[in-house]
Amino acid sequence: MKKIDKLIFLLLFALSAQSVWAEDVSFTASAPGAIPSGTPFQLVYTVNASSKDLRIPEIPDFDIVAGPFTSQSHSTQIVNGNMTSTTTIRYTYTLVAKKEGTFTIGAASIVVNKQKYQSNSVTIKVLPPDEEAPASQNSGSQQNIATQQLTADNLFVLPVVSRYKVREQEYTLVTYKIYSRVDLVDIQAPKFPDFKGFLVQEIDLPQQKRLSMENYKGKNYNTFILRQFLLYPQTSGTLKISPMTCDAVVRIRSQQQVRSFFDSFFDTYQDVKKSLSSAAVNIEVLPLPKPAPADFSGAVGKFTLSSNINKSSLSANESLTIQLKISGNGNMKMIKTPTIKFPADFEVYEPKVINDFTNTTSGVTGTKTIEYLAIPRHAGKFTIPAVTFSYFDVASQSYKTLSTSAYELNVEKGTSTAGGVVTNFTNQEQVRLLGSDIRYIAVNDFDIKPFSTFFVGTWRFWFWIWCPLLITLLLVVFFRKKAKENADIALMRNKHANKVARKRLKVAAKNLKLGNKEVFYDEVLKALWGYVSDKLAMPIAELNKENIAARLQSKEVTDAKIKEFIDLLNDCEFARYAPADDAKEMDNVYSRTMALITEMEQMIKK
Amino acid sequence: MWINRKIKLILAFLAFFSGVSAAECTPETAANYYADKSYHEAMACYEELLRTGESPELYYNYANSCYKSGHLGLAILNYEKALKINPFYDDAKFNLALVNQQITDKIDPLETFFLVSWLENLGKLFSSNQWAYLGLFCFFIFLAMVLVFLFSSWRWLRKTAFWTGFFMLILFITCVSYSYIERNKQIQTPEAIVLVGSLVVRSAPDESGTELFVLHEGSKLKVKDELGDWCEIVVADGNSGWIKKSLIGKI
Repeated sequence: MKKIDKLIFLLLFALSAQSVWAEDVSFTASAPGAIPSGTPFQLVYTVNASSKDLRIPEIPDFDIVAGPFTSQSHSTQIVNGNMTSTTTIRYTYTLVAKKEGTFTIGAASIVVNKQKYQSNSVTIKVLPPDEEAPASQNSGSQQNIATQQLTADNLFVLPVVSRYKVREQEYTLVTYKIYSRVDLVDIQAPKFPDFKGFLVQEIDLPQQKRLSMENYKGKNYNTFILRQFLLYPQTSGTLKISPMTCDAVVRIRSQQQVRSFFDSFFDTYQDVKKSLSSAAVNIEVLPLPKPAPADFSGAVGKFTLSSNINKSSLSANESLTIQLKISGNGNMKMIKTPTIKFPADFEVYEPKVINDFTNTTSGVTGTKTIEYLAIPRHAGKFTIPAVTFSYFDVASQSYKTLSTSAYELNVEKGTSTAGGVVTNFTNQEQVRLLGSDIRYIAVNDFDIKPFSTFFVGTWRFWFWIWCPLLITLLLVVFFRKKAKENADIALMRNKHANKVARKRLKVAAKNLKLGNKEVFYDEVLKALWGYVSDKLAMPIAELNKENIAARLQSKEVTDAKIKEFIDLLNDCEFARYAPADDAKEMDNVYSRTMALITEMEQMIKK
Repeated sequence: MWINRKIKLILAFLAFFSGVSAAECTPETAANYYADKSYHEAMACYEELLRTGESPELYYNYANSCYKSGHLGLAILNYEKALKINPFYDDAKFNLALVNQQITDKIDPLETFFLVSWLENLGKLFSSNQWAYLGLFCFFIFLAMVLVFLFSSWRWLRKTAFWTGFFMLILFITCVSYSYIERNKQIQTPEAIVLVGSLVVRSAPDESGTELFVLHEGSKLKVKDELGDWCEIVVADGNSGWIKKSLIGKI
């Protein structure tokens, strides 16, 4: 049993060892980025595995002063039972540059576990040596700098501006850099200007300040970047960036020189505060050229536009998403959300905007994603028009317009109301007025007539009055006999008297059958009076029993008939108010009246 | 042979020129310009056409072109002209109302006795000529009714003809009166529209006259009197004064 345990343990050990070897071999070269010429520096090759046969490339521009020195470090870690061991081998060369310029040391090669690996290449900027400093004193740059006096030349802050002349909304990069030839300990209370007139975007810098060497006005300085800002001018004209201030803490050697043996080993230092102030900077901002495109909303830079739709055919009441992506480099934050003109019938929601920007030294870059959500409420075929986006292209100094493609949308009838649910409301809606514009021109064929003048009062007008009037008069003259006959109303009434009387008697007969005594006598009386009125051409109001006799005599009616007429009138009037209801009497009156009117008609006609 | 060729050449030349002048402006080309949204060309074309004659549609189309190319005053003037010929032109009424909403001046008309304004509005229902035609029509019916009354032997027909004739006679007199009233209104105090952006109304027909008030493009006014280059105007709210004739367009 124990044997087996041992075996398993060995196996596991072997496996874990195997895993160590399986790790990636890294072989890197490192050297300072900038170095004054004549100053020795170290070129270090680091490999994380035991190796052999390091071959460095030809470096004609540098002298190898010393090396290679090999140093090895080994570390073993056990985390959660996993053992990791790291071996690091460093090969160090000390070099001195022969001349100024920028040089690249090519890749070196090394063999690890029978396999050849290549290192990265290193670029070194060789600065000219300090003008003042004698070359002999240079035993180490750091030490050299530390011995310098604390003057304005040796420690200052400089705003480095990438561009002094920009367009409105085009960025300029301002880097605040500390230049120092002294032993700088700390920078305290940095105060940056408020950048009035600019939209400010700060670039994130690594926590660890990266020191580098730089030759400025003939001297080599240790420099590091304090902060970096991207500035987008918001107005045109000359914009002033006021100075920034900060306090620098510098370690200088104590003024008191203690002359003792140890002094050279243990110098006494003291920290001194010095306030620094940068120069003010003027940025000239040119306005954007005019005229700008209609849909230009202030975007400056270089952009691309893309869009996609999640479906091209859907049913009503389903949601629809259109995604619009504006990506590029420029004043991304100032880009206004373009509007999509959805068909008027769509329910449109506020678009969702996702900004993904990063501030880089070449401006704010990233993507603005805009999601438009719309819900078609009715079926039909719709077109979602193309979206245009205009920006000012900095590279070509001109306006450019990007456009997406239009989308054809097929909306089918949706199942809006579930079956079985009774809804009280109807789906009707008022026709919405989308806008008001004048109506279109008349396109039918119309005649262009000569200019009109006033018609009334002209000879034509009077002609049309007089001509028909004359014709009418002539007609009247020609047919005056007929007119005269018609005009004789009495004659007409005479002719019609019999007819009227008989009509009345008919009504009377109806009432006789029904037994309406009063109405019957009324009608008979009316028939009698009406008849004589028509025949004598006299209004009923002027008639009475006395003058009727005389009038009828003149019309050659016999006395007997006149007497009969008067009697009949009297009988009717009497019977009308008499209480007796005698049907026979009524019959008698009716027949007498009929007979009398017939006889009188014949007499008067003669 | 040579002469023949020369004549042919001249004929071709003439045909070319006449062709150009004929193709220049027809209602169709103007409508095409309008459809292509080249409103200035459409305007010029309709102006050309309006030199030869008139029609409500022509004024209406011209007004539309004016409006689209930004001439509010001219647009209103020509809608009014179209409506003067045909007060029932619906499209012109609609567009005029729309354009009138965009003018600067808001003039409150003087309040008048309701019967007077009612009678005046009745007169505006038709143009003078339409009133005249209507009057003549009534007159013809009246004469016809007279004949019917005289020669018909049916009593009810005579009665109807009598009353219809009587009514027609009254209508005839009314129509002709309105025709005269409308004509005289337009001859004596024609209406006009301000065509320039703004103008100053002065107290006297002179540049040195006191400045009374300012009118803006599209405002309607009445011309009361004329004197040389100047004319006396009265606005709907009762204010009056003198302005240069060239700044307004008579309807």
